[in-house]
Amino acid sequence: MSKKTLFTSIILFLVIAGGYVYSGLMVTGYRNNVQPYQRASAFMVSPEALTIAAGEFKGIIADYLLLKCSVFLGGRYSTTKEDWEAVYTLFSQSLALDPYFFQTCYYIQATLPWDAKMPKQAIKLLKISSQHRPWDWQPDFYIGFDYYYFLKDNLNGSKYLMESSKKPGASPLLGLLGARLSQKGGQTKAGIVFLKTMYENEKNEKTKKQIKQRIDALKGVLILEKAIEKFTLKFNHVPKKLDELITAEILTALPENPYGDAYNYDYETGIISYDAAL
Amino acid sequence: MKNNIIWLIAKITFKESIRSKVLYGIGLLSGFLFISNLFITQFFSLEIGKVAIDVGFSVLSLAGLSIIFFLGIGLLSKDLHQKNICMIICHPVSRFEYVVGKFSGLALFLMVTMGILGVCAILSLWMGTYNIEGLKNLHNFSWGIFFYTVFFNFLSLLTILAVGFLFTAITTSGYLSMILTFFVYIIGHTLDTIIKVLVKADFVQMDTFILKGLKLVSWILPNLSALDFKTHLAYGLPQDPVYLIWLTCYGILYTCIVLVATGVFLHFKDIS
Repeated sequence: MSKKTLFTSIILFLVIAGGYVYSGLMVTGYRNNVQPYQRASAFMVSPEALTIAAGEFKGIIADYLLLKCSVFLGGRYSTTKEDWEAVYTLFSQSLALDPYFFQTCYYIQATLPWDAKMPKQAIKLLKISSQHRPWDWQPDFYIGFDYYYFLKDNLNGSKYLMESSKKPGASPLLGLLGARLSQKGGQTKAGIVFLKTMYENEKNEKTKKQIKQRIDALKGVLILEKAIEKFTLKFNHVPKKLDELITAEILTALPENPYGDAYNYDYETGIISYDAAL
Repeated sequence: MKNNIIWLIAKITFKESIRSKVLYGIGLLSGFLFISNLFITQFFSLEIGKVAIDVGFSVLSLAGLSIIFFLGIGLLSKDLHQKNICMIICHPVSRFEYVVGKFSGLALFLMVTMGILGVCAILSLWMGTYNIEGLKNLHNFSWGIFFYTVFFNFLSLLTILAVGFLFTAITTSGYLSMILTFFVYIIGHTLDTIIKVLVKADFVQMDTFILKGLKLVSWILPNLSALDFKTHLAYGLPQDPVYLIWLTCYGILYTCIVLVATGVFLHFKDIS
């Protein structure tokens, strides 16, 4: 090879290499500028169709869709309604392909009800997780929480918290919380029965004492609810205060609240509570 | 004597498979993908073991399929379409013995490959979950489920291989045979779900006649999705042993029927 050819080759190589590096830098810079406007995107394919198309690679495609979703959620600057719809689609597709994966369930709860203000959609997806993870208390706990906190639906909130507390590893406090919500929603008897089951199955004495206290509180509420029913039948209106039950000779004394204070009664809603927390 | 002939053909096929250069490519790709498991799992924070299984077993399936499509069908196609088979059947060897011998050789090769890839899959799973409690991170991980997942994956590959043999015997081109086998593979993995979706009929209203037609097709084509236990392994979902026995019978008998059909087609085929 002559010196001239070698020199030309080196120059040519340097020009090509320099051009490559420069274009690479330009592309990176351009993509960095584009990022703030990055939008979430999903294939508008029904989850069922995707399940059919994925064949034996369902698991890994579900992982990919979840990864795509988390990359958007982790790098977003602003989110539009369309973005959240795309995120919801990605979650639905990922869950259809692998309904067992806990990370999908976790991301759904972390984003849809809170940031996207889509608690109903979150519950719909979490129910799929709950059906497929009978060993896991968390999906039911999330559903119960969403019903109570976002949808103000105490009855359903209680139902799912109670379901959650029956599963292995769940804190017994979930059952107590569920029973409390249940009572708020007018299902005192169901709450008592549920707590009694918990009491019988519980081995820890301290927890047993807590459950017993809650059962006693609910029993007191049940007595008051029945007395209010009798009062309403007798006088065609609800009592404005609990003391009226004694004046009307329906009760000889108000039941004792194991939590110390007297029972609270809201005559407009008819709800009796043994603490003011909820 | 007959058994010796089949064993001899199987041994030659096995050696021929090992010598194939296609194997290097498949091995390299599998190694690369198994190592990628180490990085892919880092993108997830919960149930990492499940992701490691998804990646590891997808590689296992992909490698097995590559062996069938590029090596298995290729070998038989080369014999049939380039008339190499004449050198064998000019000896006192029946065409059916040839099919069984060839299939056994490739099945043996697939078994060895699945064994090696299975060890690689468990190693990559162990490496992928090394930083978080290892295999304990997997929900209800059991070696029993692991072994039957690998076994049914192998059975699924044998079924596809048998279908590939049938199409190679019927068609006149190796590529055509590959395409048809690929379609059977796709349909085998999807038909069961399609029928379930249609029976559920939440989204579509399907004609009863078409539904019955699809159910009939499901008897003709293999139900490969039933042989897929990756999800069960990832979540430690146990299976009824009786069901597993029936499934084994289903897979083996389907493969036998297809092999007999291949032998019959080859018997009447004008090779010379």
